[in-house]
Parts: sequence; structure tokens; C-alpha cells
Amino acid sequence: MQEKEVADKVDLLVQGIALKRFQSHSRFADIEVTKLEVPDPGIGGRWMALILIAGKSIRITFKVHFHEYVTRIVAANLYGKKPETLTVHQILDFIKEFCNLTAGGVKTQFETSNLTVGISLPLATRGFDDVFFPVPNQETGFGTSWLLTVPSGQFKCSTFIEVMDPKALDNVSFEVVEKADDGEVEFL
Amino acid sequence: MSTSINQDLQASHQILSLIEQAKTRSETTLDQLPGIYLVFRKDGIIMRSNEMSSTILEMNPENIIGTSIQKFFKSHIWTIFQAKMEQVLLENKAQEFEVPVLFKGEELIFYFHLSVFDVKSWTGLPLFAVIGHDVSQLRRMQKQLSEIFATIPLGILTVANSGKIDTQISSYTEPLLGRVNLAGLTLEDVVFSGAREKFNLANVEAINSLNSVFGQPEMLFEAIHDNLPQMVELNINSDVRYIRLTYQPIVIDGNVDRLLVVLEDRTQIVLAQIREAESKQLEEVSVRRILQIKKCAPDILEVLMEDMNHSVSEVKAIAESMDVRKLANCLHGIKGNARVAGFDYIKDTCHVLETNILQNGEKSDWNDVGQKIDSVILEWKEFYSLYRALYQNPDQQQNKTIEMDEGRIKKIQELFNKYNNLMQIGKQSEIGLLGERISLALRSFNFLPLEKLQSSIEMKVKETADQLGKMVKLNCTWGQIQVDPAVMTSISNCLLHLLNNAIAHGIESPEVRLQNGKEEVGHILVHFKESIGMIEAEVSDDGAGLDQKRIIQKALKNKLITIHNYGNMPKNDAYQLIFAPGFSTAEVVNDIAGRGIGLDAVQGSLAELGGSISVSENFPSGTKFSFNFRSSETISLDKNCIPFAGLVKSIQKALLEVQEEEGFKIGFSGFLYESKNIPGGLFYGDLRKLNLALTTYVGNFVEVNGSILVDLDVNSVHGEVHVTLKKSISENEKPSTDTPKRSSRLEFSLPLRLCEQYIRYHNGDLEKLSDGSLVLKFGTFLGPNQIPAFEVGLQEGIDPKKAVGTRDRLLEVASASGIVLHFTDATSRLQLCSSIGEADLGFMLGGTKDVLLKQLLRVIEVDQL
Repeated sequence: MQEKEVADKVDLLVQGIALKRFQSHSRFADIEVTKLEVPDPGIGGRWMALILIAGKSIRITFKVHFHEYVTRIVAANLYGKKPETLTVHQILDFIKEFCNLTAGGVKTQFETSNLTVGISLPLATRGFDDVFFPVPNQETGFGTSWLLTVPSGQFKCSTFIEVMDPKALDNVSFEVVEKADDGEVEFL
Repeated sequence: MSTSINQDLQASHQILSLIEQAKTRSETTLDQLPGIYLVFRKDGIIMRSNEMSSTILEMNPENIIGTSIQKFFKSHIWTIFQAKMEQVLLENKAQEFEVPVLFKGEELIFYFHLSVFDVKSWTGLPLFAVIGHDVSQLRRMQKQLSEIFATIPLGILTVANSGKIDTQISSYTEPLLGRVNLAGLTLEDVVFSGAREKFNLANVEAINSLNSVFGQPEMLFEAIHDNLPQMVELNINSDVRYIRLTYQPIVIDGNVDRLLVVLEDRTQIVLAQIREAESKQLEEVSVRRILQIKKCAPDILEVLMEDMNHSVSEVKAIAESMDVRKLANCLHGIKGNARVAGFDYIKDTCHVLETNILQNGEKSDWNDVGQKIDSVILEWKEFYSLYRALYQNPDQQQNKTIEMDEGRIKKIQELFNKYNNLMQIGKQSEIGLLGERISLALRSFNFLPLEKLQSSIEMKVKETADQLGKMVKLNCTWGQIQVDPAVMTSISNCLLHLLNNAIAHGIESPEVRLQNGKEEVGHILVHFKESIGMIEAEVSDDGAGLDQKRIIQKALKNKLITIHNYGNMPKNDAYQLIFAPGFSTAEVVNDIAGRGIGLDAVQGSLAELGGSISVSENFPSGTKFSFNFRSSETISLDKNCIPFAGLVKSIQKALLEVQEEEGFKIGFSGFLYESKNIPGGLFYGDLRKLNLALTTYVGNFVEVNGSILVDLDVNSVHGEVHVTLKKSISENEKPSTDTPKRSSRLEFSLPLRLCEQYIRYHNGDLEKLSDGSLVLKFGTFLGPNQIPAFEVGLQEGIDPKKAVGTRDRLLEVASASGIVLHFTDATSRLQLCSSIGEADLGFMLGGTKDVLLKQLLRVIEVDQL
């Protein structure tokens, strides 16, 4: 497979895992995924959370731009509290955990196919900080963006995928495996 | 292994959490910046904002991301903003500018700092960071301040240590000096060069040394200060302007850093002083001539005058013929008559001339001889016209007036001698209230009775009536009123016009009058009466009255009113239209009534005399003009704001002075007695004129009533000071057998009329109480509770430590005058400042108590009075 082909498959994998993790994490079933045809360079929200999945063959940066007021409603479901009682810290933790779950899902999928990758700790910061990230090099990396739409608003997710060794991913299954929902959310 | 990884993760997580917290704090700080803070793309899309931006855009802080900065502005302002963005990119330099921002439909002025953000967006578009502060309030205050500055009639500028004028000058400076672009010029260019001719050597040396004092200790400036010109006379736009200069060094660390120069237009005051001096001189000369004429016995004088008149009429022709002997004889004859008559100037000049031509014969300087003869002729003409006025008036009116009061003439002579003695003792400015009072008395002596107008008015009325075929009976009551000669002329003109108007347009022809059931003779009544300080008059006739319809038609035709506003115009308002300029036309004023001055000019003349005029219907028929005016010309006052305690002290001093000079016994009461309990407060007025008036009233009161108690009190509600003159208690208690005598000293009775005006010019009034006391009320007084509190700040850049001394002195003088000052760190209208800068109303650092008090009082004067 070529790098682009691999990246597209990985992108779909991340999308699938992210959707499933978000559904289970937020207890919302009715969530839509809308792919943005052209990667959106804008700031998708006041806040941003991100996580890095990295191995010798591939490196994936997963970012979620979000607004506090949208997230507050979604997170309230999980915390079992009224939206207005949640602190900013809890809201940020919620999205960081979502990043962590998504990255964990990708890592598990790769490791099932004997491809070893590591994941970083998730980080939350201001959406504006996206401008400090390097501009994607179209020859070595591939960026995509998509929207996770919930009734209260949208989350703009984006992946930036760099494929160093496409052959190493020949044996990887890109079929999203349903993860048993253990009902536990772990906040570091 | 797994445990170790978990621990690593835990540790990394903790570090990241700390960094996140620190970052969040920084971001929160940016969010809470007091102005606008935005990062946006070149296409205007906002990528980062703060809370103030959300407030102005009235958007949730989260939704503002992704919207356009264009929403802040009107379209044309956005174009300007875009141009500034281009400029930032082109010059690679931040731009600072002010543009209005829309907020709830209003425009607020924001001061923006626009720069390129050092990271580009993913699209490659440059990012901009902008910080904006709302300066609307500041600009409003600046505008208010500018308006205040514009109302201060002072030129204020500073001279830098380079000797050049700074850019910061008060707005009045340029019009005052009649030139623009003063910054960068020197004082020499702007002020001194135009007036050098009148400087003395000391002035010139001081001006030349001025530049050398910059950077030097203040004492060096003090050494030259007294010799710097205090007043300059400049020709500005072909007018003479007198400008008073005040110099104040701006001292930093003990050395003169700059020089503050305050320029005050004193033209009106100086011209008034010149006029007053000329007028006084003329009065003195006239009085002297009258006294000389009156010294000579009338029967001898008659012969001498005719003889001299004959000789003087020939002397010029004889001089031109250069016949030495004949001229000497003629001069000798004039000299002899002049000696007998007591005309010293003519006598002395003729003597010198006679000696001169007899010594030099035909070689005499004939030009000089001709000039001296001209001066003799001029002096003679003055004497002769006075003589004719005194002795040869056909109805002997004036002659009678003067002759019937020989005692008065003697007293005036005494008065004049007293004044002359004072003049010889010292300069006029040093002769004190007594000298001024005598001078006023001499001036009042010239006042003429209005009744003098009777004969000429009667004659002119008859002439006009005959010419128009009307029968008129004039009835005048003059109220024994006397006025300044200049006022007499104005009133004569006004009266003549009103009478002509009445005859031409009011009184009907005898036939019409008979047809209307009136007697064929029309009646015109002229009535004058004097109330305190003002003369009131009426000219009424029993003629046809005013034609409201015709007046309205004329006013419409002459566009004095419009078709829209005449409909509801009350009848009386319509009548007043006849005073409008341009109302008089041939249709309304015929050749008789149109002669001389128009009704608008009558109104103008009366206004110049502090009066006014109105017209109304006369009952049962006809027209009535009612007018008033002051009995003398306008008085110029030099008003200042002073602490009330200062006023009390000054009045005490003046009363003690008159007591000592005249030997009066004056009892003090009220604040004059209880000087420890004098309240705070400020008084605004011409202290010297008031003291002159008060002491004159006191003197007159003593002369008339024999004893006096002077009480001083304030009426804070009316903003008035009350001085009550009453008989002293001890005098009241003992039964008086003496009948009070009229004043025998003319210096206390003659100037009363003018002194009364001084009181009135201070928003004042006089009230006679039933017990004979006289209350003089005058303002303007601000009680302690009426003085506003002021906020004083520090000029930007001033080190508060350096202002401590000035602040303490300022507080001390303010407190002593009952003025409340609050000191604040913020910028205020009143500032402690090192230079004039942007704060004309500031207080100069290093100023003495006197200077600070004067500045403070000036602020109150401008603000409140």
C-alpha cells in the first residue's frame, strides 16, 4: 500500500473508533459524523484537546476542537450532574478522556495486528494554540477533519497522519472492533 | 514493568497538569484585559478574543471565534482598518491609531495597537494581533478641557531650554498675538521684537540674558526677572494691543528647565486708563481755567476779555508780517491783560516771546514764534469759550447756576487745591483712597442738570410742530437730575428723536384731532425720575398710537419676522419691532423723524449707558416710550477672586485709613469686630473700587448723621456681602439735640452717584432702613458650602515624591480659604504639573503659596464666577 492509501484507512479507523468511543463516553447514541472535504484550517472552538499515537511506522495526532457550552451538556450526561454545575476542569477532563479512549482504541487495534505504538498523555489547551502546530507537509503527512455533531452542537475533530513505513501496516486490520463497554471511565 | 509505565504516566500527567494550569492562568489574564484583545486572520476571521471584545460585540466568548472583526466597525471604518493592516505588513511595523467602534448602536473611540502575530495560520494568511482601549471618555474630557481653555482669555506658552517656544500653547495665544505657528519661534520673534523701541537698557539686558538662565539655578532667573518687560505694546493687525507678561520658571532639580510665559490682553484696561487720565487732565485744566476766570471780578473781566480778544485776533497776522516792534507791543498788551486776569500760561508764554523777539529782532526763529503764538491762541480760545459759557449765555442759565452758589465754588477750589497738594506729594497711584475720592468729586462737579435741555428741546419741538402743521404742548419734569456731560449729549439726541417721532407719527393734525373728539393741541409729556443708580424716563403722547398691523407688515417686508411667527405675536411684542435695525424706512420715518438717529440707534445709545427702552400704548390714547440709563459712562472694573477674610481685612484697613485721615470715629460691628470668627468663602470683585465706595458712604454718613457704626455680614443664600451703616449705639442712646448737618465736605457727597454705581456693578443694591441705617449689598460671594470641591491629580510622568511639597502648600492655602481638594492618582482636570503641558488649569510644581492661591482662585473664578 502507498502512504496515502494507508493514511486514508487509518483515518477511517480513527473516525470509527472516535465515534464509538464518543457514543459510549457521552452516553449519546444519536451522533453524526460529517467529513469535511477540505481540511478546515480554522479554529473550531475556544478549547482544544489532543493526543499523539506514535510508533516506528506511523504517527497520528488526534485533535478535538470544542466549545465549553456544547461540551457542558454532553459531559453532564456522564457526570450525572446538571450542566451548569460542571467546572471547566471537569469539562476539559471529559474531552481529554475522550482523546485518551480514542487513542487507546487505535493502539489496541494496531497491537492486535502486532504493530506496536505508544500513546501520549492527552492535553487540553486553547483552540487558538492550533496555529502553533506545524503546517502539514502534503508529501509526508495527511490531514483530515470531521465533525461530530450532537444535539447541543459540534466537535471538530482532526487527524494528522504521518506514515513512515507503509508496509508495516500491511497486516493491520482496519475493521473497527467493538470494544466491550465496561462502563468505567478512568480519569488520570 | 506495567507498574513502572503507569508511574511514568502519572508523573508526566502531573507535570502536564501543572503546565496546563499555568497556561490557563495566562490565558485568563488575556481574557480579562481591560480593552479589546483579538488575534485575527487577514480576512478578518477572529481566532482569539477576550471578554471585553465579547461584551462589545454582544456575543458569547466562544461564538465570537470564527466571526469577522468587521462587525466592530461601520463599513468605511473597516476600510480604514484594512488599510492599516496593509501598512503593518508593508512597513513591518506596528501601527497605532484611533477609530470608532460600534457598541450598542453608539460609536466609541478606541485607540488601537495593531501588529502582525508572529505565527501564520495554516492557510498561509498572516495573523494580526490588536489591542484596543476605549478613549472616548478621555477624548470627551479633552474636548471639555479645550473648550474651557478656549474660554480663558490668556495666552500661555512655554519656552524650552533651547530658547524656542514649545508646541504646547493655549488656544488663545495665537489670536492674542495675531499670528500662527508660534512653536519653534523665540520670545524675541513673537513678543519683544515688536516692542523693542520702548524698552530701557535694563529691559534689553534682561532679555539678552534670558537664554543663559536655562539649566542654571533659579536664583539666576530671579536676578533678571524684575527687569524683564512686564507690559509690551504691540501693533497687531494695525491695532495697538497692550499685553501684560508674567514669567514663571519651571524648575527641575533646582535648575531652570523651561519658562512659562502668561500673556494677558490689557488693551481695554490700558486704553480706559489712558482715556481716564486724559479725561482727568482735561477736567483739571478746565477746572483750573474756571477757577482762574472766577478769581477775577466780573466787571473787570468783561473789559479784559474783550480787549484780549481783540489783541489775540490780530497777533497772528502781525507775527506773519515779522514786524518786531508791533508784535512786541501786541504781546505786551496781551500779557498785561493776562496778568490781571490771572491767566498764567498766556502771561508767561507772551513774556518769553516778547523777550525773545526783542533780543533777536528779525533774526528770531519765526517758526518757533509762530508755534508759541498758536499755543497762546489755543489757550485763549479755551478761556474765551469758558468765559462766554459762564457769563454770556443769553438766558444766563449757566451763569446763574454758578453765581448762585459761590460757596460751592470756593469749596471746589479747596477740593482742587487739596488734590493738587496730594498730586505733589506722590504719584497718583500712591495717593490712596482720599486722592481717588477727590478725583471722583471733581469729576462729579462736571455733572450737568438735565433741565438744561429744556429750552433747546422746547425750541426744536416748536420748530418741528410748525413745520408739520401740528399743535403741540410740551410738558417736562426733570427731577433735579444731574448727569455726566457725555451722557447729557446722548440723552439729548435720544430725546430729540423720540419727540420728533411723537410729533411726526403720534400727534395728529388739529383737524383730525377735532374729528376724533380730542382737543386740537396734542400733549407730549417728558418725565425723568431718579431711582438708585438708574435714571428712568418716559416720553408719552396722546396721539394716534401705534398701528400694530402696519408694524407687522413692515417687519414682514423687511424680513424681521416670518409669516410663521407673527400670527401668535402678542401686541406688545409686535410694538418692540420698531426698535429692530432696518425697521426705519421712509414710510415709517419721514424727513423730520428720520433726522439724527433711528430708534435702533436710540436703543443702542441707551444700551451703552447701561439702559434699555420699550414702547407701549399710552392710556387713554397715544404712545409711551419708557427708558432708563445710568447717569455716567461705563465704569471699568478690575475684578478678582479673593478669600472673604481678605475682603474683611481690606475693608477694615480702608475704614481705619479714612478714620485716621478724617478724624472720624468709626465703630466696628459684625465680622469687622469679630475678626476671629470670619467664615470661609470667596468674594469676587474690584476691591479698590468697593473700598472707595464704602469709605465715601461712611464719610458722607458721618457728615450727615454725626456718628457711625459699620457692620459687616454675609448673606450666603443670595451670595451677598452686607455692609450696614448706622448710628453708633452710644449716639442713639443719648438724646441728640443737634440737628445733623448736611455734608460740608464735597469729597464725600459729590462722588456718591459714581460710588453707587460701583456698588451696582458688583450685582449690588442699596437699601435705606426705617431707622436711617443704610445697607450696602454687593456680591458675588461664594459661601464655604458653595465652593466646589476639586479633584487634583498628577500630570503623567510626575514623580509623586517630587510633588509632596507643592501638594502640602496647595492643601494649606485651599484649606485656609475653605476650598476642598481631593488628591488622586488618576489624571484630573486640575493637575500638579511640571509644565503647562496639557493642563492649563494645573498648579505649577514649586509654586509659592501666593502663586498657588492665585491659581486656585483663578480656577474658581473661571468655573464659578
